[in-house]
Amino acid sequence: MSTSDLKFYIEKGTSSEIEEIFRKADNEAKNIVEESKQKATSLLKEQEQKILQENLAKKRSELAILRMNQNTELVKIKSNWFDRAFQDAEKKLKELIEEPASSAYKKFLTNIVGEGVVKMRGSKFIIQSDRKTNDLLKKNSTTISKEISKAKGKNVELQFEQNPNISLGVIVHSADKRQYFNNTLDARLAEVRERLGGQVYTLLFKGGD
Amino acid sequence: MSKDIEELIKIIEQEKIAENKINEAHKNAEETIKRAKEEAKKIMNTAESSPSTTESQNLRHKDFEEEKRQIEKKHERKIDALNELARKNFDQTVKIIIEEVMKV
Repeated sequence: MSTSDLKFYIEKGTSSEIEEIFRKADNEAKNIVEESKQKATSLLKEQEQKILQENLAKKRSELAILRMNQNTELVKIKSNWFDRAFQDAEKKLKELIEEPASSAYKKFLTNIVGEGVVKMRGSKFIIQSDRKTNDLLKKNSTTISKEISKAKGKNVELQFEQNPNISLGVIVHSADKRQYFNNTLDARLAEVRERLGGQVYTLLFKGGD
Repeated sequence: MSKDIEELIKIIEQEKIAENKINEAHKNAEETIKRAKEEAKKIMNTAESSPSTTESQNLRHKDFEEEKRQIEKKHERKIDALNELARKNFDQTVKIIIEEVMKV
């Protein structure tokens, strides 16, 4: 091999080695950039997904709280109407009792005294009530005693007492005061409230969904 | 110096030049890879601090607010309907309560 051939061989070899070095470097550089682009894309997707999940959870919890508050409000509204109905009933009952001479009130009084007497043992009873009612009971004691004796199936003796702690209605005591039957207006309203609770709601909101 | 030696020296010099060129090429290649790594780092940094989701988030937030408004409206209508029913049935209900209280 001549010297010029050898020089040519060296130059050619060098060129191809340099080309190979550049080719490899370019490839590696492209791979590095491409890989980072892929990583970036999946990172963005992950972030998006994460935010989506977080937003969904936040939305669900906000909606649940909103619905819970709305349900509480509905329950409150219903409960307010329920209370108003009983308050109005109480007011009207008191108005009725404001006229003690009315036959409706007399009948009511006889009935509530009678109910207590019939439900308790014995034949002697003390009937406690407010001043107005007490006066009325005393005034009509003969008639009331007769009607109640008939209902109980034996003669009863009624003693009437004034009790300033009672607003309306009566408390029927046994003669020894060991037993009593609370038939005041408050007690009767409370009993009806408990007994009819659900029915009152149905009555108030009937015709709806 | 004989002619052969002269030729040999030229070849050695040629090889030295080639070696330098190759070294230079390696340096350039390293530089290319370094630049690629820097670009890759920049791409990742951009992705990590990307506000790209803000717009779609805002859009979803708007949709959600609208959904809540609709639920609120529906609820208001429900309240109105309830009050209307209660007003309509109130007197009858009071009457029944009074009857029950007076009934013995």
